[in-house]
Amino acid sequence: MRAAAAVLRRLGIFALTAVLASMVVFALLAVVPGDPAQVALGLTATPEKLAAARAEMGLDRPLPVQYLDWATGLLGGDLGTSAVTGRPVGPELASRAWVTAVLVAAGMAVAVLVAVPMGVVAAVRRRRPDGMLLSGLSQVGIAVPAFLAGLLLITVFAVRLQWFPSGGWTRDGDGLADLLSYLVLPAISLGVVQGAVLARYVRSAVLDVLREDYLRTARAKGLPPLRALLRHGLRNAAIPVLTVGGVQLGVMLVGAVVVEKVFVINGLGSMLLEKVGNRDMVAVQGIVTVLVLAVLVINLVVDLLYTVIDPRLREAP
Amino acid sequence: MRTFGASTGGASSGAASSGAANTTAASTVEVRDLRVHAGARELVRGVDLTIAPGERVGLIGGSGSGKSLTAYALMGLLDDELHATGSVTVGGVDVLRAGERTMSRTRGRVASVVFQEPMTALNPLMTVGAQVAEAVLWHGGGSRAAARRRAVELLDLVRLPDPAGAARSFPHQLSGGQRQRVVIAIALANDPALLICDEPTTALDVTVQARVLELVAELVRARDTALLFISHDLAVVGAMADRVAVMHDGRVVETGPVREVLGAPRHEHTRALLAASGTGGPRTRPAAGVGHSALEPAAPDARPVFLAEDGTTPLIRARDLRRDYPGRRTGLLGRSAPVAGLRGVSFDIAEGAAVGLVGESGSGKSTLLRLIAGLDTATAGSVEVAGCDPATADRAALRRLRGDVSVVFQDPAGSLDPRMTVAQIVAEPLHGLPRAETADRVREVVASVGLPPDALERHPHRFSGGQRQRISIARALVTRPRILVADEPVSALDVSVRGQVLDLITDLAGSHDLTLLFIAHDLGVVAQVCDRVLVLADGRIVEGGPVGDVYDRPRHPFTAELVAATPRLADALRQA
Amino acid sequence: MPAARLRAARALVPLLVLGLALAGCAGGPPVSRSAPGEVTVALSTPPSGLNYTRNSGVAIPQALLYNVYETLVKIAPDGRLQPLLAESWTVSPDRLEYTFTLRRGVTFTDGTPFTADDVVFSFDRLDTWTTASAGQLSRIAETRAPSPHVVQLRLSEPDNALLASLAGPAGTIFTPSGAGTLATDPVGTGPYDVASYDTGATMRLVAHDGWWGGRPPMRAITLAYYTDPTAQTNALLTGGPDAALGVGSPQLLPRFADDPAFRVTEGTTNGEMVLAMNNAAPPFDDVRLRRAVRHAVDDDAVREIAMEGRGTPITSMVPPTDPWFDDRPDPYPHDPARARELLAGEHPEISFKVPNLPQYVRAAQAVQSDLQAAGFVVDLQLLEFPAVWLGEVFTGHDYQLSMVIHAEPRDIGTFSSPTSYFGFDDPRAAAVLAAARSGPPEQYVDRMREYARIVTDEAAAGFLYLTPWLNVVHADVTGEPTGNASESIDLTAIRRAGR
Repeated sequence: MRAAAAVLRRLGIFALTAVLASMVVFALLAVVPGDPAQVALGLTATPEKLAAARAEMGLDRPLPVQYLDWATGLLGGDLGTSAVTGRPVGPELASRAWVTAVLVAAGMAVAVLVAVPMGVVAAVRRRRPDGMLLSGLSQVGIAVPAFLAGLLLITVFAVRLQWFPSGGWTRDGDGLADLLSYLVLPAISLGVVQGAVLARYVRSAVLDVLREDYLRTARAKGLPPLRALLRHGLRNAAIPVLTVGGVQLGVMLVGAVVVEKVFVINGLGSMLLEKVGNRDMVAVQGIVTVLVLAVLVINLVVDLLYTVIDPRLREAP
Repeated sequence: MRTFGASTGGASSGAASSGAANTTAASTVEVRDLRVHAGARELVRGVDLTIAPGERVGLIGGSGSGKSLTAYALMGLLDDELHATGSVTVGGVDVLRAGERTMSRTRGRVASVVFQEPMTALNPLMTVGAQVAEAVLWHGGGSRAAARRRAVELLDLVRLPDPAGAARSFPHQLSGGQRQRVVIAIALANDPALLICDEPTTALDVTVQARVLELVAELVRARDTALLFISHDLAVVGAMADRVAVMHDGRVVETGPVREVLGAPRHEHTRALLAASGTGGPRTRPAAGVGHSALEPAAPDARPVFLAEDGTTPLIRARDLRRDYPGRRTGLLGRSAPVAGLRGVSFDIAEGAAVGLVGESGSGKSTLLRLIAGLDTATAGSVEVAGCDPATADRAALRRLRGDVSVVFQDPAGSLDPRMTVAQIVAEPLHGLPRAETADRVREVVASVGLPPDALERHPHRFSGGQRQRISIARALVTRPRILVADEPVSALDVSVRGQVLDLITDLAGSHDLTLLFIAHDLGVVAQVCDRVLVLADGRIVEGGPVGDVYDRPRHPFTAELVAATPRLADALRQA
Repeated sequence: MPAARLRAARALVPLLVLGLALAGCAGGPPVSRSAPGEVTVALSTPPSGLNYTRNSGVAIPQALLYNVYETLVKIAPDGRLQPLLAESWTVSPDRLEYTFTLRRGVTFTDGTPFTADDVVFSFDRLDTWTTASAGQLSRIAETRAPSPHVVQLRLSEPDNALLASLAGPAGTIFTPSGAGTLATDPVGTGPYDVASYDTGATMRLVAHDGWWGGRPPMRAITLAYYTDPTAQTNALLTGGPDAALGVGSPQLLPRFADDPAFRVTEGTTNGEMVLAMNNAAPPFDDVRLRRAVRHAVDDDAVREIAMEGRGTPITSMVPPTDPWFDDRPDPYPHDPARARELLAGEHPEISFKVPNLPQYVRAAQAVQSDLQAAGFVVDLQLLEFPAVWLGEVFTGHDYQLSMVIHAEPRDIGTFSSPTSYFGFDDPRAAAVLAAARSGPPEQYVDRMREYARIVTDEAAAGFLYLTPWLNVVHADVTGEPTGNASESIDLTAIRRAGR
């Protein structure tokens, strides 16, 4: 019941956010110079042809009408048909969103794989050289931009060693192994930086947990330090880290734009850049809606994970 | 039969343990010249301590005396940055030289410890049963299912109601006393030869404390477990221990049977501790304006009323005061029934009185305080403070009221902004006064609470707990209030400074003609400061009157229980 | 913050060293990832859709024309006209009636046979195009199909450009059954069919088994679009694409020039880098100042900077593959002294609006410094391309000086278009152009050359260079287009040996 209420509340917030975001994007695209008919006709345009194209694209109608038209379609699950390409936005958006979702998920997996051991060791051995080295490495990791990491990885592992392709994505008929070979380098360049950021949060969360009385209780039972930390500390440390991780997923959606460009991956990021360039309003709005949805879904999942981890939240109002 | 043999990693446990058993036959704990260093600083300076099997030893001393560090050293749980030398043998294990492997077989099996804070001592994300079972499993307690069953037995042993249900609960679903019972269950899970209790009941209500102490005493006696009981409360130690060691400044300054040490202390520090622990009984001072106080008999729905002198209006006047809190949300729309914080209380307090409010946590003490200070509004009934009802007062009257009532909170560290100087903190409640006058007032009030003039420009972290509470008191007094409300003002302070702060409050109340409202769970503390006392239970005033009358002749069963549960050194010594 | 960045950057040095050390151990030549019988071609500009009746982006016909769609005649990569769906044709003496005999046995990719009715259908709906290329065939008054394999065109007036126009996108032969899916599923008679297009990313063309020309050389061609030259280079080096055609950044070519695994070739295109001047507004309504610009700018130096010296010098908007190409010397050679002389001490302030793409920015900076040296005061502004540039410069005519590549074939006539952003309103030139198009065919080429000379002599614009057609091709690929004279990237003959 409570969960249902929470979900309803969240869906309400989502709807509101999505509506506001799409209105803002619509308004922005209306204000920004350049119109899709112009872009479509390019260097061959004549005033008559432009007018005809604008009429055919429905751009001669008042802005609110254009917006409502799109919004009504959306309510029926129709993301609209692009006036620029003449193709429906939905299928393209779905395939691109899937690519970005896989990329971000893999990036997050890399980030967690980097952050958890790194943060735990840096916290437990904070006064020893190796712990300090790890803290320092995470500093360095934070400062490396994802595109630089990407270029470096391509130079070494794709061009020279030829272990992985330099970019691209799976085609029809490719298997999981192909997907992985395309995914490894982008996921690392997306995930390592976030992993370094996350490691710092893991470190401070673990440091906090190390000071907790229940860890002392666990030690008093006889558990050795590391075992006490793993059994009693990690789940507790996960709570603050989860918050950061949720935010980072959102950040990664943005970071994916850069990584998709470096690795020539056709995800939401590269789609957004292309559609904005073509002033493809319907497509851009669709993308923004999907991104808002993604961020809200992430928040919802994070909240649900809180209640899975923390029994205290299962009863609170 | 217990075997104390240290499993020092050797396979021939027979020979090793028999050798070890020989030493433990003499004593469970053998500490020789224990020193603990933090860098160059020596925190424990050569402690010798012996505890025989089944012996119960109390360790007392002020904070910073090294008593807790000694306990940690016994468990081999000192922080990384602390370094211990000397020799510590517990149940035959050479703690300071044993490796982590040995110690992990020793802790929780040979020696166990119960810490001060039951609220945070348990992992909030794991069921209580699992946490108890873990202690059993770790030391080879058989199958997981068997460990679970054993956990329920242990929870039953520490007398948790519905132990099977408790095992499935998470810590937050248990009260503080129940959680401490769980910690005790964990500590006793493997029948240790030594149980260390480090201020195990300090955070608990006094009646709960009594029950937990009783439980510990009983279990220890039944199993012939050696006990090291650490406390600053001499009465508690007196009740729990056969022998007592007094620590001061990293050394044991006096040791001997309880009756000798506490009955006839030889060392000056022991005498100081005794003096500071305020066991002298109720101490009344002539109160202004309550000459003809009368008291209604205490029936369950009694309305104890401190009448002011005929013809004068009481300074605080409460009638049928109720405060309900909304019930928990139970669904999309539903809520459970409202929870009553106060269920209708009525009283008058005359100007100049010093009134103690006592009761267990949840009895409504703090709710009443918030209503009087105008920080909260009543659900029903009325309260009039200096002629003003916060519920109906306009803004100007409310501001005046806030000036008339000042509050001193429990935790001096938490209530002071670390980034402000003392002068800024103290001046905070003053608004709209000329700069020079503000400065004068701040200087005056800081001097009156006994802080040096150079304190003004310093930040709170430079001060000790007692000094910080003086800063809070100065902040409370700077508006020249008529009523001072103190909410457990000394419970977070060390015993040795409690007396000084209580004396300060008493003196200031006299010299500033303050009406004092003093909340405490410790009857002894109330007796030291107040002349009148109101006893709250479950949102009602169950009894009220002069402190001496209430303490010596409690009429309500709850008051009687409260008084009985308060440890008294004299009683402890009588029994010892 | 800068200090922290610096510290971080210093910490990166060991990583970079490690990276370079690893990079030192070179791998072998790239192994193609394409399946046997397939070829992957890297291109630079992705089409923003598939429907060139609605979108004039050059990338759409580049991918689809000749490869997917066919026309009655085509322009071969060397610029010559060849028959395609028409086997032969005759022209009436008054040059108003064209009769085409159509190839037999041709089918569309959806299986429908190609007949004269499809030609009638296609030319009758030219007026529904919103893109302007349809206007090239506006002199077709009537299209008739006297028999299934004969088509007659009646013109309203003679048109010497007709056959070339029929070879462009406007001449595309559609089928009524495919007309509804132009944006999603193009249906043509060409050797390949669009299997899928992931917008902006990859287009997959599969062999049209019933193609009239026999079995197409490849089972499938994948067009992989790389907007980032570095990514394209890396992909080529790692066996992603088998060839990169029309490479935009000559800076990356040396990487491949010495590698025996690749062939690097250079050909010509229709893409003239034009320094556009607004002839209709001050200060460039004054031919003196236009000439000053032409003398001030060192075209060769600009080409050196922007194209690493590749590309072809031109003096007008005519590539060497056009019949009326003119190899006379530039009437306005680089001569800063002459430019200063023409300015006569003036310092005209000019707004120079340039597309915000790398190849333009590099060239524009060189142009700017040449003009400043001659005495112009140049305010260089970068505009988002295409959206903002098109609105402000091309349609709004709100500019004085600009720069863009005109990639359409035989497009010099655009100077006399009434709405042209050049604002070049020269009645004599317009008359010559009209006469060229409608006059006797034997005079067509000469008149076009004359028209081009007027445009050049009037200094209507600057013609900086002809962009080169650069290919980087894996050694086992043959038949790729080595130049780009038409609007198609003609992949009908490309073939990869490979395994």
